[in-house]
Amino acid sequence: MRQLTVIFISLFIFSCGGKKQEKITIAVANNMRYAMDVIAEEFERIHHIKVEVSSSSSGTLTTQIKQGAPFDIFISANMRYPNVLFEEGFTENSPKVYAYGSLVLWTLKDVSIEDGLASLLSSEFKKVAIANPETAPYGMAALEALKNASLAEALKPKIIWGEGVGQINQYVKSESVDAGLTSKSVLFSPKIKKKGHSVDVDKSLYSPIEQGVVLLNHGKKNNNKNAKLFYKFMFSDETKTILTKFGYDVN
Amino acid sequence: MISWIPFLTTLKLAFITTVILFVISIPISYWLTYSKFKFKFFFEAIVSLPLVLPPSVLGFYLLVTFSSQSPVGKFFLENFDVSLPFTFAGLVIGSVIYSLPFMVQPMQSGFQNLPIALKEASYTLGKSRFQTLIRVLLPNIKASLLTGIVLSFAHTIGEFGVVLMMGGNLDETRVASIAIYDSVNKLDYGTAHTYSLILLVFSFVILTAVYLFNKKGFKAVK
Repeated sequence: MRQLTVIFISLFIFSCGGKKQEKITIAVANNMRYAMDVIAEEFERIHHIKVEVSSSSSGTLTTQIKQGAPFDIFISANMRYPNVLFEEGFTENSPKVYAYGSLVLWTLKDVSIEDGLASLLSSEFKKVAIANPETAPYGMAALEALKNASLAEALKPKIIWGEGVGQINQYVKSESVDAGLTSKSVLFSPKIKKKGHSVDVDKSLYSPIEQGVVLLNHGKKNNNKNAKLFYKFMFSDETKTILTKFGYDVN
Repeated sequence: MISWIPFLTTLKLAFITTVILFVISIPISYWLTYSKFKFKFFFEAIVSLPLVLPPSVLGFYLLVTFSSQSPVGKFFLENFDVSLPFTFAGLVIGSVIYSLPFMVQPMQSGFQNLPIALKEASYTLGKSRFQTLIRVLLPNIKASLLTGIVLSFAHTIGEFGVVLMMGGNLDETRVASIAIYDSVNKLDYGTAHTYSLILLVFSFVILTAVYLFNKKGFKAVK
């Protein structure tokens, strides 16, 4: 028992170390996490404030914020969720668009997809993954694009519904599905580096994916200076350069 | 880029949870074994609920109950200045509830298997109930106690759903199982493999050690 106590105490001390450093906690939508790692690194380098990133689907993060999660800033994949939080009084300001997301068709199969969405009609594609349109912004855009291209009915038997782009990306990467409609940013993630084939979905087929950021009450109350600093940083030239590199439109 | 912090968090959580469970489960299982209360079955069912309840259900209820918007959450916040969701303290409470049956049930069956004469003999010799429990009953169910400790510890290490709902994937609450989920989400399968393998080996070593000890150690005791 005494040995266990010693082990435990040392564990405890070890895991409590370094808590004093200034930091800021950010809730990040799954599609943004690759870009966010780079943005956070840049922010830490310039301001010497640690950035803690918690990522999940925008919907889950919204629920957690409503239940009092200690996030200072919410970086969403759409405007709907930040707007809900704003209307219900969980935010310091109204949400603002920091980038527009792009939808891509992505496959690891060695098949030409030059025809865009219509290529999915080929018998090479038996399963196509799309995020849940009810909760995931990229799923909503994907379904809208399929409908506008008059492909939704024809492709219906092939569609596998995933939770969010995070899951779609896993399905495609593990080749559990033949193709997926997902956020363009995944192609620029360090583990993917443009593996497979991808083609941008024609932007006229879906409404712009406006990605919003909002300063949360928690940030305002407990971490005002740093939270504001980061919020501003989201609109800086440095961030815009990074976002562009990850396939987002910033203007 | 392997970080050891999630493992330390996991071990810390499992250790604290097991200690708390050990202390509270002794009176609970003692009461469940020896009480003549008519509606005891009702409490037995409550204790066993986490066995069958999906962790997401438990996590959801805990999240909503302890939320800073709820009366319970507000009470904790105002009186003790602690917020339970998304903190380590919240995870401990969640894990204690989640692993409760894994500690109570072995203890209870340990008590039940003891001959009632043992307890009565001790009473006849003038020992109080408390002395009998500490000096006579507990030493005789060592194997059950160890089973309870190991099961609760192991079960807490494998916990996922409750932490996912209540933890919020923050540095403080990112246990090993969540770190695996997170790296899969990042498409970082390399890290996910490493984490998973460590967890697998770790769990296997613990269980092997326990079975070995159980075989050798308790034959000697008996």
